[in-house]
Amino acid sequence: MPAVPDLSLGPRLRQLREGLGLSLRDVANDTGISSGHLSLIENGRVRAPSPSVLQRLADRYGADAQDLLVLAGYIKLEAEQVRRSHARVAMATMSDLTPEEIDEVESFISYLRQRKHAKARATEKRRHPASSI
Amino acid sequence: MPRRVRPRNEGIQLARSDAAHLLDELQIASGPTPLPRILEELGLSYEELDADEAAALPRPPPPKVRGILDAEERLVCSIDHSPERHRWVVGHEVGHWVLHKRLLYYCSQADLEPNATKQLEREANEFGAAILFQGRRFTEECLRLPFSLDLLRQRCRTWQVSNEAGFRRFIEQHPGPVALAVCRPIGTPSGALRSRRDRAGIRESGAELRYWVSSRSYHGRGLDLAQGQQFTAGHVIVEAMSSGRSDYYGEVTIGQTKLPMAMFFTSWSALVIIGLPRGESERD
Repeated sequence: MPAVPDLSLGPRLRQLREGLGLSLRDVANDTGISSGHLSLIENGRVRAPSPSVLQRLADRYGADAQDLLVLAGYIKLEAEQVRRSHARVAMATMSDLTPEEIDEVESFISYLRQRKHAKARATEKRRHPASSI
Repeated sequence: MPRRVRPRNEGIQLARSDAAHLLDELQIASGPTPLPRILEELGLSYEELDADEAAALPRPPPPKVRGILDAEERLVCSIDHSPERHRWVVGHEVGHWVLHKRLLYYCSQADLEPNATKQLEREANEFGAAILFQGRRFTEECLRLPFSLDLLRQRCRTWQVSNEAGFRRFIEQHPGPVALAVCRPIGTPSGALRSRRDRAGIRESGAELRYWVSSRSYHGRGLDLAQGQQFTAGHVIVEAMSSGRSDYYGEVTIGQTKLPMAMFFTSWSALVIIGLPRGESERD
């Protein structure tokens, strides 16, 4: 689980931007997000900017989008979820699943992954029959 | 509770522009949108499961899960019954991939509805709609035709979108003052609108508004539908729903204003178009 710096969202974003020596205008030009909106976010006037705005800023700053989504309150990391083997499931957005249902989802996703890999292996064998001997 | 859907924020705008950019990049300029090609271009693999088939698996997903994006594995999965709904789910999950990648998503029916409450889901829905309907292209095609339920359904079939999603898009982007009310019988499970006998029972049970959407020019005319609105016996919507006719053209009174109304049944809901007379086209 990535470490989340002990800052609120606005100051964290300002820190990331200034660390790269970028102006608000630079970021606006690169991301398509208006500099006015960026300023409001950094000053804490917009506390929960859109997730896609955060994703874009994370991409531009080379930061972890998950950290920003946590700071904006979109993702809640429950201690129990973090302890799970699939901690990434804690990142899912559906909050109305019971712990049993989360287990079911994890199990189902493992099944999907196995199925995908099995298909890929079968395709590979068809393409290169000799290599499977 | 039904709610009016008016997405207006930076994230929604980004979802629209990202979708338009993707369509441009892939030079997709006519419907239906080739989703398999989009998935391939994005390097995503896709599993489509019938809901019953999924329930019978040794390790089934919870019934409420309808769509999955496993970003780490670049894998999209859709669980549904209808091909059109599968396309909606895929468009939505591709939206998560483009807009919010690096996460794992499992989405419920509520997340895929137009009145989804979570911002992440609303953005993915907006992206999916912008991909499936190619911005305004679907609506522009529909506007070239005189309005009728049958012609609108034909466009939906051509574009491989569900009637509900197609009607919603058409109304939201229509230049005139029009609205779509999506109603269901009170206390009736989904799918119960298939038989005429079931529909006759609506006269006793009444109907309720699932949600409604409108065009921009409909706003501010004092014709808003009420949150949680219910329609009882004698109301034209209830009468139309219980009449057994699949298509119904008539008039509905909202406030003090009489407006043309056209209604069509899906197996799930009644789609009531308000304010658009039959046969009228944009050119009229």
